[in-house]
Amino acid sequence: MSCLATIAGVRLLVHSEQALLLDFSALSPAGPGPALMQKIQTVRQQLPALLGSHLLELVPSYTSILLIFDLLQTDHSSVGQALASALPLWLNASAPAAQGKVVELPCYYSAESGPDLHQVAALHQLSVAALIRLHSQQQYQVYAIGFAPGFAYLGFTDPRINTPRLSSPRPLVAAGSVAIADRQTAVYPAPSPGGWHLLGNCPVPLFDLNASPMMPFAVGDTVQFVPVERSEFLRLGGQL
Amino acid sequence: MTRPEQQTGLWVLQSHSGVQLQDAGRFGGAAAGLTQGGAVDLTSARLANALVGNHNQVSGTCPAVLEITLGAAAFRAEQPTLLAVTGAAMPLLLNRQPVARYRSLLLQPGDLLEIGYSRAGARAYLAVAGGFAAPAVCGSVATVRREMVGGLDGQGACVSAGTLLACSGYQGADPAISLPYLQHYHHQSLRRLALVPGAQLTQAAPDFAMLLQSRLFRITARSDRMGVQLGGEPLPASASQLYSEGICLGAMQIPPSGLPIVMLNDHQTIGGYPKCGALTRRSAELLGQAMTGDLVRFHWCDAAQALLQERQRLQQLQQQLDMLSAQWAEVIIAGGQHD
Repeated sequence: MSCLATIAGVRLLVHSEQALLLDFSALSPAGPGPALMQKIQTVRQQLPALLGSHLLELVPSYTSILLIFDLLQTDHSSVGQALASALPLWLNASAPAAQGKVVELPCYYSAESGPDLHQVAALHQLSVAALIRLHSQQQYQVYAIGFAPGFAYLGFTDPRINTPRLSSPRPLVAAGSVAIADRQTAVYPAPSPGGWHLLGNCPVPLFDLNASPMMPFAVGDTVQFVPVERSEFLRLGGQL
Repeated sequence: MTRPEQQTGLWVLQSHSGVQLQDAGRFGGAAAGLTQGGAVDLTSARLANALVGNHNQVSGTCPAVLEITLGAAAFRAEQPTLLAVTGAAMPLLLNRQPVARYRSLLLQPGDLLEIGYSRAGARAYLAVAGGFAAPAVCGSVATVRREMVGGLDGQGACVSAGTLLACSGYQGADPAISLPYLQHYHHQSLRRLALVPGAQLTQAAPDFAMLLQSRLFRITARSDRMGVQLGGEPLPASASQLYSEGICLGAMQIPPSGLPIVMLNDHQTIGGYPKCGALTRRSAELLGQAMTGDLVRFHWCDAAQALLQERQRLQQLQQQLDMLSAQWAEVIIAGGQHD
């Protein structure tokens, strides 16, 4: 009843009177990963042209896209029919229509910009230099954006540096803080409370309401951190 | 309190964090983590606008109004101002005399409008002719404090005492436009709400759907514009962990406690708790009007049927808005408004 159809392995699930969830999880039994993200991004990028003004909102995430439509203009089955013809074309195309971009983010790893850097290194019995290397060598997929505007969940970290959350969250984390928790890493776009361990700081603003797009990357893109020295961090506008 | 030269409007004498500028909400930013926001009871917000001649369509934007949560606000007019208050039943005093809700009210300079504590309903809406002026952020003035977005300053500020709300003055006599009593918001302390079943319901315990429909739930004080935390006998919670996914307005999450949380306008954009379904848009408005201690009961409603009912409801609302517009057209033809 609440699964409308399965098209090219994507399940169309009813989420409300004006929302469908496109569930891609069956395409990747091992869970979220770069190949699945590329499919999700391909679909996300083409949906606006397919649905036009019928589309109100799209929220891509690890294994799904939430699609909210204007119920005065269309309904579940009409959206389902449009997807039935479009999804197989998009997903089976030999060359993927969308290629996520790689965004490099400078990061100043230090105790003064990342108060947990030494503690996390000690936890994993690594030198600080080795921790920085493991964190900055990895290319991360943007799996989801949420929690706060511009807060991107980046995954996955090298298993050698998977780190639990703080036992009690900090009341205030500085804007730009580069943090890790479980298998993921993130940059806090604005000052906020936070329970992740802080390794450094990224001097580049990641969320601007007045810019278009509001963020330098989207779900499905790839992010890599580039270690920078203190002087470079300050030159790029970093604050200590 | 300083008075900026050349600027005039409505002075805020008494207020609190539950008094916020709202409209139909912000769309297109959810992929960057921006929530929808907007008037929780959008129906009442649209009617308040129509009563003061701010024409609006159910399919479009809604001029900015003040959402007043639980009451306790006061304003003084700096210029002739036409306004109307709709939604929750809050005592309304103009220069200490009771005046009606759901009716245009003309305030002269120096007139005092006081809004008392709500007797029934959580949210009232105050609209002024011409609307309130505020900077749009991503196409909306909706105030979201948590995101520091929208509102009078564009950065999520609430309407605080001492603020001058910029709005247009009104020339002419009070057109005395009102809405019949039967079309007002009527509070019920036990409300039946429609819930569209979601796909994750199939992963819930076999008796979950029946239990949810047969039990009464109570509105707890841990409720705000983000969501309503229900109290009562816990439901069987599913142990399954989800990868976070998009959440929509009205979505009902079942956290490990087994006590449902229903998402309202300022909800998080993604979340990982299992969801058994989502309230219809209208049911979410009514839940947002519920007061702490009120009771709700849910009934399942098929998505296609819910959609048709919502279309029908919006058509009826549009007729009410158009009827008020027609009354306004007569006022303007009679030369009552602009000289």
